[in-house]
Amino acid sequence: MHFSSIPGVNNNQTINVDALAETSRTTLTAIKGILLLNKQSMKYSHFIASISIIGLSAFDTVDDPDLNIDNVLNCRANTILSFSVGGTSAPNGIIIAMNIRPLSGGLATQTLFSIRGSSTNVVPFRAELSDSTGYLTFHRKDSDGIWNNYPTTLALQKGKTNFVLLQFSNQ
Amino acid sequence: MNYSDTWNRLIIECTQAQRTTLEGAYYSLRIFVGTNEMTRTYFADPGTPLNGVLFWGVSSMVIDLCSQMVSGTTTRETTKDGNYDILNFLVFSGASGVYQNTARKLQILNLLKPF
Repeated sequence: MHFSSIPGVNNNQTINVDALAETSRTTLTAIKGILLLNKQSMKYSHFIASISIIGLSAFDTVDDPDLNIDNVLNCRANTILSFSVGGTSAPNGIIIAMNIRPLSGGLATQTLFSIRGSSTNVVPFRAELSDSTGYLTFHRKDSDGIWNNYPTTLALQKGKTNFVLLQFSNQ
Repeated sequence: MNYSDTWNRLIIECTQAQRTTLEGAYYSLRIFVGTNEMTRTYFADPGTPLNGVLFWGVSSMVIDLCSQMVSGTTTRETTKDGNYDILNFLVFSGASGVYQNTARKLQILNLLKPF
């Protein structure tokens, strides 16, 4: 996933994602912020399939994370980035790799990622980071609807915080 | 790989496992942070093997980063927002495992040695 968006495309709200299969390569789309549905289409639509997604937040500040230089995704308070992997059935396994730099001053429990169904929005799996310990805990809802927790034992180290001192003087 | 600041190379592996004596679906989970590896955690699902899926209720999968939705809605869960930076994000979807090719690493290092 390349954490870069283009101002001229979809109001700067989408990110291209390279998807590789055994014999093909395609480009999928990740979305910054919360999806907004075209309410006019919903009002006159008789079929849910005909609801058009204007997608994307109306402007660049609604739940949007910042994309920094060198493809860095800045996850901060009040932001979310969603990527539809697609398919007709959920996979029975997943491998996720990333470089991550936790920062000081966040919430006590932070979401690293979660898995959600695109049609039901059910969230049966999530990975959460403890701000105080740096440990990840995975939460999975089983087929009986019971949440089970799986803590890990390797801590993520926090990044350095850069302080900037600004001095204003009235001379 | 070295970075100028405190970046953690994180790999998460969650996949199907196989057991011979107990019923139900069975999975393993482990993470790698830098060069450190966690021993696998195993967990089972009370469902039958035929109904065993890792992500219950999901047909077409969406991955949310930075935060999560309140389950069943498209409302962001405001109490669990992230405060971190990410880059080099990769997802491999499907039952698979992480394989460490140490021999290949050594060969790369040899190329970096001065002649």
